[in-house]
Amino acid sequence: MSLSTASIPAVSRSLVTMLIRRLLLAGGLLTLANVVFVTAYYSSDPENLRREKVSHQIDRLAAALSLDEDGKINFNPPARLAGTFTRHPDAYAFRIEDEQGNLLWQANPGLVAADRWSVANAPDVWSSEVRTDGRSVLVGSRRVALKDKTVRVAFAATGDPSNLLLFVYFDELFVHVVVALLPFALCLMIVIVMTVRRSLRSLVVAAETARQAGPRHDFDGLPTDGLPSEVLSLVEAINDALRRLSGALEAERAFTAEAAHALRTPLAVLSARIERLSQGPDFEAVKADIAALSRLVNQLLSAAQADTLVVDPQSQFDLSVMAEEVVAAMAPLAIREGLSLALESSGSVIVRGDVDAVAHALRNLVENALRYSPAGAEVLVRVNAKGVLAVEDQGPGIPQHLRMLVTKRFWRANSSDLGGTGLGLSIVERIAQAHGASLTIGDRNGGGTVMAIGLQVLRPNPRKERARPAR
Amino acid sequence: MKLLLIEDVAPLAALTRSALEAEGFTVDLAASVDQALALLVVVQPDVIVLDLGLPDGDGLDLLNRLRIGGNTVPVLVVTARAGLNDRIRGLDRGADDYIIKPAAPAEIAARCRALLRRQGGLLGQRIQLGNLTFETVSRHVLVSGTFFSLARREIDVLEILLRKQGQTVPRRMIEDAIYSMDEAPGPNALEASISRLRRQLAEASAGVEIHTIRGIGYLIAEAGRS
Repeated sequence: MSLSTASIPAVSRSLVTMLIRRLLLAGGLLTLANVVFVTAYYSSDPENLRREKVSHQIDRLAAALSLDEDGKINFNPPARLAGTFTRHPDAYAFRIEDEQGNLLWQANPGLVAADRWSVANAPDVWSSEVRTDGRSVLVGSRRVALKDKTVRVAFAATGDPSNLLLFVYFDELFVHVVVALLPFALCLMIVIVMTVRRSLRSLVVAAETARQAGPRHDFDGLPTDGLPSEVLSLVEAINDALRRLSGALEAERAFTAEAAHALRTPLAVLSARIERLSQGPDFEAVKADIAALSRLVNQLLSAAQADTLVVDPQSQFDLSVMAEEVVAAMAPLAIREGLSLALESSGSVIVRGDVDAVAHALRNLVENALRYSPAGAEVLVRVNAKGVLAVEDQGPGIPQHLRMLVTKRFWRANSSDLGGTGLGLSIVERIAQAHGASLTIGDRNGGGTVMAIGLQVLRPNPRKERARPAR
Repeated sequence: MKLLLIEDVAPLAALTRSALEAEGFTVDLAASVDQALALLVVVQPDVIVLDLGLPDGDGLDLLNRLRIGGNTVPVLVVTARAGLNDRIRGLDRGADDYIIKPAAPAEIAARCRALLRRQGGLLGQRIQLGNLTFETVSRHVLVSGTFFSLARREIDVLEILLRKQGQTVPRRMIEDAIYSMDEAPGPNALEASISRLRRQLAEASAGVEIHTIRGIGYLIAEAGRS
């Protein structure tokens, strides 16, 4: 089965980050909605709003009143408040009286006729609209208690040059939004972030286990402890799929091993029987045919094994030592073909990977290079400190447009070509892929082909001494 | 040369046996781990050819038991399982060489002889390659029956190459064998010896050739073939 990589976003965001972002956005929008709501609510009742305005100003004036130790009433309005009246003498006025109705302080008394102030002379909060000189004046008053004394604070306004109405809005917004909503929203945010983090922890643990589980390890599935039920069913479904998959993989491996035994034994019998036949022109031909058939069987089995190859992430080996072993073992074959085989190595280099599989890949690369080498040529195996394993030949080279084809199964440069099974390079490619690498095909300086696989280096040149040679 | 062939497939066992007998081996046959163990009590073979897939157990376990019991007889493993992963495991468990099925009996015989040519092996007394003969006890070198003289160091190099004829011998292995601990060979000392040896073998018309496997070591083979 293959997973579509397109469905996985290149950069995946953390669920926690995503939740927090969305919650913050939702909080922001709710606050905005609240502002709009409060504004709309107060705007819908201008009468009430005006009363609020008067009440608000009376509050401000009352706050400036105080009683000293001698029982004398003082009035110290802040500069801003006082400024409101001095700047707009025809818009705002106030009057503060004692219990007996004696005037204590006032500003801009001309705005309202003296007798008109009494309109607002009610026991508690009161406001009214009166007409003075053809203007509509809003008048309000309130009785304010200062310990044992009581004063009456009255306020009048016509028009609103100081935008006092805005203050009312702000005041209402402050009370209904900032005071009522913000601390609650902040607490909720913190609680949500912590809850989300805690709830997702079990998921993080499961993901970590999945990441560390090597395919060759005994995999008991992802841990399901403490998972919320929605996630649990997903994890269980995944575990189930993984078990079936690993079962199928195991069955295929077992089948491959059985097939190897089943196919090779009759071939061995055939090969041994042929040896007893009388020599002749047909004898050599049949022997060569059997050799080709044996090779095909071997390559088919290797291909099947390469397909199911999973590299244990813990496995590692010395690339240089492995290359020495393979070159030493294949040198007699090269010599038999009238060619030479050489190794150039920068010394011990420890790479991650399956030593047998990579050795198999190298054997295939060398066989391939030998097959296309002209008489007397040298095939060179190179190992460098960057973990690159390369095989260079002095053959005809591979044209650019054929390079994609050579790793295809059963593809051969020349279909009448003897010996080659057309599987070698596809096996190499598959083994490279199992190591997270790929087979690269390039031109050799001076003619020929370079085929290389780059492996992941764990420790370059751990020792200065030369790698131990192959046995 | 006594050979114990451990192979459970009857026709293959019979064919291999007769082919090996034709190559000069005396062959005993065992078809299972039990039979092999029983035979090993009464016969001491010079070499064992071991097929890994046996009906009553794994050939590698048998090999393990032999090695733990102190039996150092050379063992050639024949495996049908070798794909990507069985090779090193076999060699690590005490096999001296391995060969992948299907293998021609002639190839099995050649591998067995190579094992027997090793130091102290049965064929270690007199080593033959083409018209070249090497007497290991007297350390005489003969070409077509005629004695010819070589310096001690060249004889050492020739012996180690001949014992592994047809196989690559890593230069490190040669250096370890011919130079003592306190003799620090110069970087080109071995090349010089090989070059003298090649010249003298050519002068004596020896039909052998020493091939250089650059970056690894050397290989001696009959001239014109491996």
